[in-house]
Amino acid sequence: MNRRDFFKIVTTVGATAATAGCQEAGEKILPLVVPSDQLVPGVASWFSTVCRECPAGCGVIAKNRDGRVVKLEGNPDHPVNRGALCGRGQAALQHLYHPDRFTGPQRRDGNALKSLGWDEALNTVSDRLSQARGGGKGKAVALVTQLENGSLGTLLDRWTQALGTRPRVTYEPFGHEAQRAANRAVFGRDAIPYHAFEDAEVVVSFGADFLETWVSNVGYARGFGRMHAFREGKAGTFIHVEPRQSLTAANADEWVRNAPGTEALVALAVLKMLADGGAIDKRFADAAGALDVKKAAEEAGVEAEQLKHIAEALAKAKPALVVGGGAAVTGSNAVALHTAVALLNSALGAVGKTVRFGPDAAYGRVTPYAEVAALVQAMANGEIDVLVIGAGINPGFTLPGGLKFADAVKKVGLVVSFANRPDETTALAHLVLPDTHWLESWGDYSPRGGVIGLMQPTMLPVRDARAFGDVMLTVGRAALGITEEGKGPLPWASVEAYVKTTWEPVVKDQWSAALQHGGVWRDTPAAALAPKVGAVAGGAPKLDGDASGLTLLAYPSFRFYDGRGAGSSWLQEVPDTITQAAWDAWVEVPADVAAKQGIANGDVVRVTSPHGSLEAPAYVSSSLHPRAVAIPMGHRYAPYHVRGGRYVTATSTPTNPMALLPATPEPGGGTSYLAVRVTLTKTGARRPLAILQGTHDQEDREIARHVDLPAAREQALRGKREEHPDYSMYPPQQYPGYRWGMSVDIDACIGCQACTVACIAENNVPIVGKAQAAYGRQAHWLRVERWAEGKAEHAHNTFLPMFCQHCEVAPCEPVCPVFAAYRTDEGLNGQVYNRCVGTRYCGNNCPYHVRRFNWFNYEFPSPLDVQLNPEVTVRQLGVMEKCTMCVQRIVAGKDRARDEKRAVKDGDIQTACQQTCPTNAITFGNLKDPQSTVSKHRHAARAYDVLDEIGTRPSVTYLKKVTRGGGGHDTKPPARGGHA
Amino acid sequence: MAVTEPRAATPTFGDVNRDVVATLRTPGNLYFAWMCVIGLLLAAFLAAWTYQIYIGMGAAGKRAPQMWAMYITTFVFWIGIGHAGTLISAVLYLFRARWRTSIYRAAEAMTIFAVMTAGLFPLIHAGRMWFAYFLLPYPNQRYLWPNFRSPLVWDVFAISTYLSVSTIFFIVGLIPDIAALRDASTGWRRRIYAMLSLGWEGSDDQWRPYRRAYGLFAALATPLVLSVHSVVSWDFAMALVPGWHSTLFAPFFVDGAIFSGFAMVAVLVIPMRYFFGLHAYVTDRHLDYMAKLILVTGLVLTYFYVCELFTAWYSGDHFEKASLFWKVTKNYAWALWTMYFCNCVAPLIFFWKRARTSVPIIYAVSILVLIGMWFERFNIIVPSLAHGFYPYTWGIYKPSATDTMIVVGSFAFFFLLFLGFIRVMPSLSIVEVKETLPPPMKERHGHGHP
Amino acid sequence: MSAKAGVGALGALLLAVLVFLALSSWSRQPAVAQASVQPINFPHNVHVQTYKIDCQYCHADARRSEYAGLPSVTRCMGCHKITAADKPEIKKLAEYAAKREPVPWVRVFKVPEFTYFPHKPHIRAGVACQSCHGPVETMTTAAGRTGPRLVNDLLNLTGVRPAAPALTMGWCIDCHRDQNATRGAKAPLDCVTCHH
Repeated sequence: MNRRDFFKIVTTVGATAATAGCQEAGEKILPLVVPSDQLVPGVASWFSTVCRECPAGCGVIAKNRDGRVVKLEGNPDHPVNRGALCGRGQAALQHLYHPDRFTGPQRRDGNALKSLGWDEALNTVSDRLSQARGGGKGKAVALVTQLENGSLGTLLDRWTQALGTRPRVTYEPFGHEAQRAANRAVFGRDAIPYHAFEDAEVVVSFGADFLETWVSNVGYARGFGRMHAFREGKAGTFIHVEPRQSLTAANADEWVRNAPGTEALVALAVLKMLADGGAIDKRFADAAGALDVKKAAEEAGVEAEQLKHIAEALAKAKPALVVGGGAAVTGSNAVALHTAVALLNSALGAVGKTVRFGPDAAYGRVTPYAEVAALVQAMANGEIDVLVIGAGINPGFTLPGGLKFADAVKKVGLVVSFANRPDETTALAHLVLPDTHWLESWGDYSPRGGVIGLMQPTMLPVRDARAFGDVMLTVGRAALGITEEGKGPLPWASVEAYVKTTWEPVVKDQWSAALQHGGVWRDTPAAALAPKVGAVAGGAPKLDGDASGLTLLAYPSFRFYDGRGAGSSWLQEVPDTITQAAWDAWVEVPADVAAKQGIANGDVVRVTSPHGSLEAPAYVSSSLHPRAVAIPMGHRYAPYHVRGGRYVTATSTPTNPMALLPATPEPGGGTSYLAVRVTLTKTGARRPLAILQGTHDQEDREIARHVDLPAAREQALRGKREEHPDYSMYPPQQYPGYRWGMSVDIDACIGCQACTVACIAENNVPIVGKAQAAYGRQAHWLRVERWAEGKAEHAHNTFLPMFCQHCEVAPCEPVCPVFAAYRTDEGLNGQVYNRCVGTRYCGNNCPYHVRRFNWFNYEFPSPLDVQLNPEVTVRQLGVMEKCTMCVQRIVAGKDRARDEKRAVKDGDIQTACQQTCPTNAITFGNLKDPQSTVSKHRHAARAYDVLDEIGTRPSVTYLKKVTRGGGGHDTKPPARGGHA
Repeated sequence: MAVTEPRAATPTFGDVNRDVVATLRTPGNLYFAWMCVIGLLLAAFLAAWTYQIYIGMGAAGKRAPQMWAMYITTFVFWIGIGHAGTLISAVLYLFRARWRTSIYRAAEAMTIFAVMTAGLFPLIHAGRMWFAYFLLPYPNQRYLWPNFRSPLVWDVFAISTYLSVSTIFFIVGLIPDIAALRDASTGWRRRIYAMLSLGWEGSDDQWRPYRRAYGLFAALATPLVLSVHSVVSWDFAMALVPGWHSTLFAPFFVDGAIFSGFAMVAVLVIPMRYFFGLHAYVTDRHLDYMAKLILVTGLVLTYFYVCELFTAWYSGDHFEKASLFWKVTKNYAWALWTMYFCNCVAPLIFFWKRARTSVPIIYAVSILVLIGMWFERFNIIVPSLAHGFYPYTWGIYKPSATDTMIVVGSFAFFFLLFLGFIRVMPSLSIVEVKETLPPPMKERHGHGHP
Repeated sequence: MSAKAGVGALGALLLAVLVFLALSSWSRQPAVAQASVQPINFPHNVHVQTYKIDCQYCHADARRSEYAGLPSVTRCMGCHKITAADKPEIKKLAEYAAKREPVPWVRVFKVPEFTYFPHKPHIRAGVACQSCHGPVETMTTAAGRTGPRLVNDLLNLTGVRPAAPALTMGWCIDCHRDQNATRGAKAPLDCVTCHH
């Protein structure tokens, strides 16, 4: 029996397998029609595939329970992410089960889209195509897809050749073209190398947000964690140069706040200092030419001391790693910046060590934005008759406003979109042929050289959709006048068939093994490359708009990337870690500008550039550079977020900063994001942001503690935790079996919120919407807090994941009148939903305020309810809930162990948050086993309990952050007023 | 001490019967007007509660960190009101303070209705009130018992005990008077009173056990005056929340309860005396005594406030101090200062005798005291929770239409019961008032001293 | 008459309380499935007693899954292509098989809401199916008394145990305690084992 029938059968079971608690009387139970060897109802099976939420291409395994995927986890074997996954990856499920997904093809009818049959839809396309070919206007057919460097890509290229159309355009908003240009110039390699953060001792980043969206954020976060987090006295150093305190900057030991657009200048100055200081080969000084370090420092608005410090750190490091150029700093001098970075790396001998050409990133295959712009120009000139836009991308939203894409498209005869949800592009399309979600599709993707991930359907399509490739094959053949499969230049029946034929020679008989692993990978040696040193002009970037304006920093949001994530209500409600704002988009306004213009948090401001304008609520930031304004990209609401005011009330004004940007590419051929000055005007309207954190100031409560590096080293040797005796009239609790506990290393935590999303996905945590979240009713079991200390404009941030502490002396337990909250024999703080009466006494008495109350019956709009984890109760109105340490996983783990007639081993059970954490900041295990990692952490020198003076004796241990000294750090007890 | 002449001459036994029965005549339009207002408020109350049960506790303005707010505030307020009654009837009875006789009936009625009103709130407050029976200790197929360590379970026992005992005490006290009404009334009324008087004839062999029983109940009720509100105070004192976790709370609450209780008695008795023309029974002397009691309890309360502030400061507990400072200066400061004014400053006026005997002043102060005492509970609950241990969740509670309607409605509920009662039952004790009067035949000497 | 009436009033109040308990306790319990409305009249007794078919031959998932599982239509047909193929009930079955549709059986046994009952560990511990499902092998149509009721509460009050299999929590607990006491089994008694 082939997989598809198998899923057909299963889904009949799945459809009726109601989640616990919502079962009706007299309900039907349907058996399988055909017994299946692959499936046992009620037992999950895992399928590996590749995450396509961004071009990083992390390996994913999908948990299929009764025919429906209920959870995603990183593929532990995959070399890119080794089991970790970011929030966007975790939330991909919400796009799979998205309520807005099209059911079947859609045709434009005035402003609305009307559905039509597949045959009709396909005929429309193929007829149009054959006309175009017949009329010898093959070049009038354009195909734009997201980055597809696997079988699908080659298949589509064959398609374009067969039909004699324009070559396929691979469009990615963040294409890193400048970096490729620089590497072409310096190393003669048109590629984006692999950056081995894990092997570096010192990392200096010139605006590269590698912990958020830059190239491969999960993989690089893993590398950063291993390089930076304090382990056995070893700890790397990270210095970040950026005008805005991004999440990445907030993780730096030293954050250098430079004037917008001066990264190249700073980089060159450092290069010069190193050369003059004799730390590197003199010839590299030529690059900087006659640059005067003092002047450069002044121009960049940084102290020469800081530059010196960077240079010294780099000189000492063996090896060092320099990275640069996030979207936010990509302006007309981006190539200069990347050239400087490339030179720094080769000068410091990092190339071949931490900068590896060979395992190059997939981004190297992206069509430069300049060509995309040219295509749009061609459209505007009416040269394009048929425009086919593949799934995944949304040019209508992500192309700069200056390019006037919407107007250009109007000149195109037939616009076909393969998006499976309504977005800004389908709004412009004449025909929508919904593609299957990547979790429903066959394919492969190579995130970097030597690594090829295999994609397989993890379940049946949720809605009536067809694979992009399959449709293209059908219409292609039809356009070529070929009636049956197996003939002509496009003989394959489907992408599945094509993938199998292309893989046959690679894997031979190892096909199923490859499927299980999720692909094949081998090490690719790093090429040794000699740099070409030439003078670099690190001048300021060219900025449109009047000189008095503030420089616009448009940066990709780590929650939404280019907007692909924005359809997910999970990602919308998870707050941005720095601002702690959920749901809405905002304009980050420097404190003194706000003071001058009388702008307060939540005031709606109009941002105007020469190319457009937008309105959004202000977020007053004391850390942003006073000459800059920052707006996150990718924020938009899906129709179902707004429908009937479900989560938010509709906001008509676009909050997309792309609208403010010019069409002209930067010299490297990429989109220039750092290209305009903008002016702010108060509209008078107010749209308060849903900011979940009451204050970033700990008020001396020592919730997030730290220790400076020397002390930490010294303690690590001594290895004793400072114990306070705890006095009690009661005998200590006995644990007959296991005692579960967790530990959180806040030195490793980078605040990426992946754990929060994973927890939502695993535990059926409801989404409450903007208004409720703003009123302290968000339901997250786990929250990542940001605690700021030191000078407000240069705050030192600590990220602290907070969830139920499962206290041994839990204040919530004695006050519950009905034992709904009680202590289990295994050290958990149990919460029994069907016993809970809802007095909320426990919620008051919990010092950590981690208990969540069901103020309403929260909805899971269909078909999102299909995603609900059948192993976790969906809570009813009026009951209290909280982190359970994933008790369902504990039960399952013990069950597995019993099958094998053994005790649970360390690592057998992983909580959802721990499993997805890219930096291994979270650990779960048995505290009674002295060898378990968690008990080692519990007795480590850095260990402490949050609010320990209350004497709740938590089962969750925190490990202090290790501060490396330097910029804005004070390792003394925190100073007041660190609000950023 | 010397007291001004009562406005009416000391009545005779006949007057008593006449005057008391007069209170039961068909009421005037004003009364019905009042009842209409109350009815409307009650309807709103029921509507709001139904809505809340239907869509969930979210309808009320509660949030994290204020998981409790106005419901518990009002619950404690009514429990507090429910104290003066038993104090007056039982304690003063045992101490043979005879001036109690003419007000204790009203006070007892107030007690029971107040406790009944309070009893609604745990139900209104519970997220799943349809499972409230989980708190009752009865053997069940789940093998589960309530958690006897939880102050909420103590509440269940304390309040139900208090309600039952004071109800029985109340009914026992009523029996002879109902009998009197039975004899004074006719038709279906007579039959009902006959049923309720449990066959009372006033014969000697009924009186002897009756007196003994009454004394016993009085003795039984007295300790409850202390126990109930102590237990209620432990709902807070047993919790960790800064501003709650204090050994001071039990006496503090009991005193506050008596304080507000007497204020409420004054608020109820003064109009009764005016509308029913009972000046002969509820004399200025009574008002004077009540004013004195309000003054004394008020001063004691002030002392407790000072202790509270002092310990918070002197303990040096970081969280306690932060919470206190925030309460006094930040968002809810207005509530705190209102409370200090109403409970500490306003009663001081009773140091002046003229104030103690001036009806408007007593009435005004009593109202202020009631407001103050409601805010006292509000200040304990809402601001303390707003600024607890964990800064991440600090936030401000905003009342919603729903919980406001329910709180207001609870007053309607109380007054419905009370106004109803004074129309069907003797609102002052015929028998005991008679006892305080000189027997008819003898010549009169002034006004009978207690 | 009067005195009695007074006492009667108090009695009525007490009754009211009991009624409230009854209603609230009953109101939110799962309903009992009607044993009679099965699409095909399946006699367990014939299969088990006459043909000596083991429970887990048809309910094959019990040993490896949360659900006991129902036999797939083709598995039924495996025997019934020949066996008793002419019987009207079997004809119904054949129709389903022909249409490649599952048989819409009506659920009979059901633990109360918000409860997880995994079959696997019970089979692993060697618990006989009958100890929860009753003597199914003797039943012409399977039917279970499910759900906690105030009736059961009152039966407890009077010391009378509810009729087995009650599928109530107390009944589960009894068995677990008993197994731990007598066979030294490790049957968990933690609430969260079944309620999570």
